[in-house]
Amino acid sequence: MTEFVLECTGVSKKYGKKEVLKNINLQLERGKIIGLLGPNGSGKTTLIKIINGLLTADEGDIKVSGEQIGIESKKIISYLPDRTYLADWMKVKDIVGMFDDFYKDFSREKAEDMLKRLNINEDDRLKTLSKGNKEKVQLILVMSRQAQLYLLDEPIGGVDPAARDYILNTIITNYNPDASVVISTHLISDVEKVLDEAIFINNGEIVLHESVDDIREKYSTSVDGYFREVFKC
Amino acid sequence: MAWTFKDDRPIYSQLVEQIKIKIISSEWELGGRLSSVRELAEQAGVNPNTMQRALAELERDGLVHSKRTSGRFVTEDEDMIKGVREAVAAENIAAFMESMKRLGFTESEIMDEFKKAVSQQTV
Amino acid sequence: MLSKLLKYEFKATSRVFLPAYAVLLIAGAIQKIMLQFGFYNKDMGVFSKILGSIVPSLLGAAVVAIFVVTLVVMINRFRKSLLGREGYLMFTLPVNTSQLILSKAIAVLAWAILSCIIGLITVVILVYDTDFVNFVNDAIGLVGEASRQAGASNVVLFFIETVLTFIFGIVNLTFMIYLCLSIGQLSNKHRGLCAIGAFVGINFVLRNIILAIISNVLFTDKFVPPFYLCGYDTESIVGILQMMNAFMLAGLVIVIIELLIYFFITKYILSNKLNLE
Repeated sequence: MTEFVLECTGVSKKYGKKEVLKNINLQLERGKIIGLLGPNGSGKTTLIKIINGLLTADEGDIKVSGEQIGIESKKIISYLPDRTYLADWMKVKDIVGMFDDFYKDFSREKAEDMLKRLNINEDDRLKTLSKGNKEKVQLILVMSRQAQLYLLDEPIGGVDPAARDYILNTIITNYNPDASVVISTHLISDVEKVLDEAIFINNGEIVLHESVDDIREKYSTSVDGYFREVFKC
Repeated sequence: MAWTFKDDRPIYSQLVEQIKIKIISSEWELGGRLSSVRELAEQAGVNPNTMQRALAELERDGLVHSKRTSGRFVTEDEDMIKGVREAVAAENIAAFMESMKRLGFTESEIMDEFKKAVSQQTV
Repeated sequence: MLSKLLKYEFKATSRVFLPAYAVLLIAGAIQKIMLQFGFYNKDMGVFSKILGSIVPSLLGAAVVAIFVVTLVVMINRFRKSLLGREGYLMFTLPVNTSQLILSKAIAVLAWAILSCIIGLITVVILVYDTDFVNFVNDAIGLVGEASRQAGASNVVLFFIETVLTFIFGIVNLTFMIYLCLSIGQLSNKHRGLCAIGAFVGINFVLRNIILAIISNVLFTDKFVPPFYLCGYDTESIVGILQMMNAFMLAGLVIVIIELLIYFFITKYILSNKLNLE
């Protein structure tokens, strides 16, 4: 097993003339929960999409557990996009079956158990689920995999406090020393307590990558407070 | 007691303080077995590595100790807990004195105020 | 992995096609029964008149619907489940882009073929009577006669080429549509418009290329036949059939080259220029 679960070297991306990522260099260790923190439009989603293979970087090199982006990297990345990607016509058990079919590291038992605890019936059609429950089904699918890198894009954006606690709890309880979890968000105070490390990204550049406790020690303020200071308008 | 965290200090050091209080107040019993790191992290809503770091510090202090296979336990050394209890009390008093002095009280005035408050409470 | 993708593709599409087939077959059967018993001729008042107009129009609608549905599925399964928000799941599955494209295309091809077969069955149900049996017998006789005169192998080849042209024609259209949709998704705002633009563009370019081939290669002033049509004896049936076979084979090769070009460009765009909503 490689030391770093993710290594980005000189990753750049342009949309037309606009540079959305500028020379990103990043190394993530295993067994960490990492916050990818930045204002809206800072490049968080673009970076996550590139690591997932949904976008292609213009320059630079990315390795996920030593693998180039491709089928092998997709096998070990578990990705929660910032929108729902479930097909309406499917039943909950259909999508569970689909994950079971395609991902070797998927634990059907774990998913079924988590669904049961939320009182989500597997025979329900996804169309009939509330928006909140759809998001939870997606989170359950993503967290029921034994992946090496979890990429959660805005998992707590627009959810109520109970759902937020559920999501953060799920992330903590699924902690695995061989895997790392990246949570992208602009709602820092909500996630701060569960993070090991914080990465600040702004205008497509990484401005800080440090442990949460070190930030608090150095600046005598929360990561959220420090973030507000750094990104003061 | 619920876990609460302030913004101005590292979370692990706040975990250490709060666990100390749980042990002193016997919320965590003498010689009792601790939940797993993951369970404790979940209860406190914090990162498991942070919880691990806090427990490691408490272990260095001797307040908890781990047995190879059966997990972590609160110390059975009552004298040590007593010592920690006094140390925490001293810290609280020092902080109290500090803030009273900032309000302009002298030490003897503080004593008077303190006695007054205690006697009012007991009536 | 392709078989797993196909499993879900058929699951997703069968809930559209199976009911449509059922309507078609049932409407066909009812119409047949009505005709058989001369129901429409009997004087049963308004009731028979209503049925007499409903059933045939239902049947007509079902036939049209199945072909429309096939086309709509061809477009929408690609547009929605790959280029829409479902694409976030599909493109992060541990499969490659070719498998994603092929699973869509194979499923739609299977449904197109099945639609034709079901359509054929409906026609047979409707027209089945002694005349029809005689007609089929005559047709078989004709084929047998042709085989004797032109050589069985030539006739068999003719049928195989006809079927292959049909199949690859569908695949060609499918991949052309996929390419247009893939070009359309490059645009952030006007995906539909760009896709239609690409469709018009590709067809315009193709038509001109084909026109150029026809006017410059097939029918020059002196009417020199192209190389692959030379040397056939156009006086005999065998020669004409062989020439037709060669001609169809040439057409088939062009259709296949085209669809391969569409496929690889589509694959390139989806692998390197993906731009999900």
